Amino acid sequence: MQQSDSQLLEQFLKPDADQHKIFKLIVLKYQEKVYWHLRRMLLIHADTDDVMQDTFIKVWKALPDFRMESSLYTWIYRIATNEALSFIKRKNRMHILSNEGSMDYISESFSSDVYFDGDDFQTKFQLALLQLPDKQKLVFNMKYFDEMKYEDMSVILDTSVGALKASYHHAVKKIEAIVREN
Amino acid sequence: MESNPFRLPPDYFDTFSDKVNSGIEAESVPLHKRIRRIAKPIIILAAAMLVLLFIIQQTVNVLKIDTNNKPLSEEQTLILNLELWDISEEMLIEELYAENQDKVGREDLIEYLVDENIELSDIIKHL
Repeated sequence: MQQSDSQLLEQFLKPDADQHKIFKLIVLKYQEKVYWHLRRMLLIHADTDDVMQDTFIKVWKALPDFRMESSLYTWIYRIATNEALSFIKRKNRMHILSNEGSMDYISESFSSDVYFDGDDFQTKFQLALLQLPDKQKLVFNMKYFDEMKYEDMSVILDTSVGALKASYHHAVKKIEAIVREN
Repeated sequence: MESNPFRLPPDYFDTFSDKVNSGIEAESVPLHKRIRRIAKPIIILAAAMLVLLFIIQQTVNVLKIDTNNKPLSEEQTLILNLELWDISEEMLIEELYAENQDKVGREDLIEYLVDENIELSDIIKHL
């Protein structure tokens, strides 16, 4: 039976704890959820794998100071989100420097990713999502795919519930228009 | 949209936690040790190159002509530049006579060389 977050954290913080063993349980508990959240942001498996590792290494370093002010999952999700946004910013900057005139690393790399099996509509849908600003795309993904509550999203993104609702509404309208256009 | 168009490598999640653990262990190596691990082969290579340069420099120093010695005379230079079989006794006798013709005659010179049993090599040495 899977242990609760507070149980895991309590065990982790014990002086004689086998921290690596307990941390492994945390990773096993959340790796899939975090993976798919990142994958929908980054689209490409190799990039997702890199950011996943960075995320959990950061979680390991910060876990001794985590005080359960939010749920463990929300906290991990927030770290993953920030890592993904930083990654996208870095890649876009490098991509612009090495490819004059080209703006978006993910758009250009996504089409050649071997781990995407989508049909024509799904490809258009993902490319439409890429046209949203990063934070708006995040809101859309969290609501549409992760079915997250606005209150939890508010903690993760440090944005008011009202702003998130508006952002989601606009995202939906924009995607509909792009997909219809194509 | 129900189906997930994204795939991932098989057994990815089975091995992911081990990957994270390796990453954590790599980061736990102190920075100076990580630097040393990377720098060690570079330092060894640099040291080897310095030793090689030192050996080359020392070899060049040994082979250099000693410019502190007295410069060679014209005769010595002439002899050094000649192959041994280019030098004939007659040539040397002519040289000796040319230098000393106001002091001694040619015949006297030859008689002297024969009586004293002076060889070609002795003349070269003397010059």
